[in-house]
Amino acid sequence: MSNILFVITYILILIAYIVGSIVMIYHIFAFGINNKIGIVSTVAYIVGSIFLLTILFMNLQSILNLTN
Amino acid sequence: MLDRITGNHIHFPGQHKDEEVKILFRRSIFFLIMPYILNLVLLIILLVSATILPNNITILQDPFIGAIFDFIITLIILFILLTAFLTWMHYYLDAYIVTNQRILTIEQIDLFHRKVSEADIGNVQDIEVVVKGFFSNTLNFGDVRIQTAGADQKTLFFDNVPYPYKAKDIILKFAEANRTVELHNAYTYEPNKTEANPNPQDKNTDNTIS
Repeated sequence: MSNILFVITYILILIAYIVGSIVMIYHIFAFGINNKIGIVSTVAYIVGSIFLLTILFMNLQSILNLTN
Repeated sequence: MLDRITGNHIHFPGQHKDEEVKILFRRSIFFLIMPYILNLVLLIILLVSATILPNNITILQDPFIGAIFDFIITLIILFILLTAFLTWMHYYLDAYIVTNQRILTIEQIDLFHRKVSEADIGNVQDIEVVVKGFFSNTLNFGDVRIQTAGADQKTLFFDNVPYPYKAKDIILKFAEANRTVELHNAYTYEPNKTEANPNPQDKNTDNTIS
């Protein structure tokens, strides 16, 4: 039961984060003025986000292993 | 200079066909660096506590609680990254543009709240510069208030732009140039001869009542 709770929490965080990120990236490319800076910062943000979400997923896996 | 970009290669949404961007101002970089310093301090505190606390607090030495603690720390770091990107987005989307036709202020107030004000550059009547406070004076940034004349009289605000006195001079220079061009166009205007009727009496010579 607690396993499902942790997985649902992770999925909800992931969905909220992805939706928020898409909205921000859309704003940058729709209303931005100097797009080169926009592209560089967006790439940096995406790389950082993937890295942190991977660590979060690994943490989740270790929690699930401990509860089993 | 990072905060003031010039050049014809700059394009913005809503730009007219024959409109040319003369100069683009952004807020002083100080307003980007300050929140980033706060984020960095918070990040250092988190990383230090993630290293020190599990060795000193007995509850965190339990593998399950320790794993949840790591999960929460990573989640907060993810939130810091999100906040940093949001701060940068606000900085990037706020812009003050001077073109050969208009002055525009674009402000991203919230994620779904955007405000765009514009005025004809030829109508610039008065420009006021306000440099107030310790950081403004030492780092040389301030507010520029542009008042326009004419039927659509309004005041545009360039908030916390770097080198505000220089900005004022540049705007005045472009406004003067625009007025000179308009004046020149008005004097050299040649009306179409087929449409023009300089002496209407010549045409109506036979309009006598018989």
